[in-house]
Amino acid sequence: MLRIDHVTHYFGGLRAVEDFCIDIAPQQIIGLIGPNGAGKTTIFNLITGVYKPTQGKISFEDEDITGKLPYKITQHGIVRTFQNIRLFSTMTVLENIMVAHHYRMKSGLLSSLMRLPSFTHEEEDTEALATKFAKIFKLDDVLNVPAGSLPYGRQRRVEIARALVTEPKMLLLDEPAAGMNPKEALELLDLIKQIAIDFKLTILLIEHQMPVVMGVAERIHVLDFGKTLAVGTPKEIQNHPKVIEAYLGEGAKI
Amino acid sequence: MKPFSNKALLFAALGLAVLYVVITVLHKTEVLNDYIMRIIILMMINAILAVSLNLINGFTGLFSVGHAGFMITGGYVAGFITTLVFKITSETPYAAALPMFILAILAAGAVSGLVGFLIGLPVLRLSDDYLAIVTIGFGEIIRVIFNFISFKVDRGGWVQDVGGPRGLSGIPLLSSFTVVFVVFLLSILIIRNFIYSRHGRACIAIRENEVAAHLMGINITKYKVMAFVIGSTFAGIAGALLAHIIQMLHPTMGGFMKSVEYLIMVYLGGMGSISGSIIAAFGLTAVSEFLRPIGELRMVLYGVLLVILMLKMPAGIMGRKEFPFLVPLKERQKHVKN
Repeated sequence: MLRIDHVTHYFGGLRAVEDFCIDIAPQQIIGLIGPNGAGKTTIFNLITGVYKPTQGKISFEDEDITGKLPYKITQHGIVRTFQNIRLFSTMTVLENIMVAHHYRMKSGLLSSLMRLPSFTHEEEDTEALATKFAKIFKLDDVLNVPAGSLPYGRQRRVEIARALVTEPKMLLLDEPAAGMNPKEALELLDLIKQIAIDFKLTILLIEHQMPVVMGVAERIHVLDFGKTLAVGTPKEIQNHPKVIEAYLGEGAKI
Repeated sequence: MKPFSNKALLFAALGLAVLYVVITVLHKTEVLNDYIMRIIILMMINAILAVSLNLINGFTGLFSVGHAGFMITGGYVAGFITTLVFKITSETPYAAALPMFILAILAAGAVSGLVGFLIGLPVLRLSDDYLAIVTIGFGEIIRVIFNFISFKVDRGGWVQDVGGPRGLSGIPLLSSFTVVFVVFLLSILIIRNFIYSRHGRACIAIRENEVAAHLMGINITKYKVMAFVIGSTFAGIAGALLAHIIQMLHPTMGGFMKSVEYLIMVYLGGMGSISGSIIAAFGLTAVSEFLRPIGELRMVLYGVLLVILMLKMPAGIMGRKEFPFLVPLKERQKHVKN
């Protein structure tokens, strides 16, 4: 479904990602781990069009999406969340979710300005849809609260709900459990598994909390300094000598 | 469409009708003299300018510093049409002049909007700082252009030079209270409807977080240009009204300092509040008129007033709040529920 072919990306002279390849089949959940600065978020930025790769090709459902503008890529069906939450803080939770449905809506400028019935109906439908998603993420008690005033864990939920309203085929989650306590993180894990089944989603997940990523991913890619260190099942990765070395350092030799 | 299906709208319409009748009657009975009426008209014109600039700077989070440039463009377009094309003079009956005036207002809006589109399309692909620089430049270019355009008009026997550095004079007085009142209400209504639609939501999302908006499938360049063009269009319309109340135009009116006046109204009223822009435009127009007797000193007082207001209310008079009647009923109900 998503295919990244030998992608390399430079920031000036710094090689952030080197020769990265991945092939994700529909409805797989893939983990992406690595120490800080390994290039994980850069890969997300390359997929979603925030950066254009220096070399290589990215295709989605056999269509080349390399270097397309972010909003076009979202319209192809790839959507993401952010490591540092990016909500529309002063807008309410409901509005945040409704914004993401924008490109699926059809009412033109004129019918919006004149408040034609078609406009009103579409607004109502979108609101109902947004409310439905808010319910799934247990946000229905804060629909009209500014999103920026919510506690951290709930802001994450708004972000995921917002991403899902775009009706994506593929979801990229950038450290969804960051800043959550173990209990919240495990709740989130269950939620991710559930939505993956309910919405037939393919998921690529960056995560530092090992219990989360080990519990949910069927395959894990380990990155270090932009290079792929290892690929395998969670079990294989846990015992991979190179991975242990990257995270814990080399054993001292006497 | 059932425009009067809800009570709030009915009350708002009634209230405005009563306001209109009261002011008209007070004018006819000369409680309000022509001078006061003129100030009321100027207040409404400035409110259109402030609200349309707020759409660009406050709601979409862009930074345009050339609003007066669009205003004067509209003014000149409408002025050329009424004086040079239709040759309306003070002798033309008002009933005959009115349709031509409406046409001139629409043309003014269209031309300003088009100019906004031509400027916005290339510039809004870049980050916002460039828009500030380009709009400052635009204001100057407009000033220079109108400095050069001059005409000879045959005014029934004698030929008069108009345009150029001496400005465009002899514009007929067509901006009556009724016309301005109607245009003012329509402008506010249209901008309000835009803001409370999927398009307006997209613009506010861009202000809140451009990257996130882009990644949620919003074509950010398109919506920035859209907000900019709508803002410019209404600036042009306001310019047309202004030209036909002060009856002359001067190239310097499109300059940077004039734009700053409208910026002050937007920031004072509150970025992202239609109500705030209206209050600030009304208030500042009235204050600067009442301070007219003390001459240049009024600019000092004006400045002090601004400093005090900014210290006491850094988010502007209204912040992001709105008067209830400026919020569509459905939006209001949502907030009552909580």
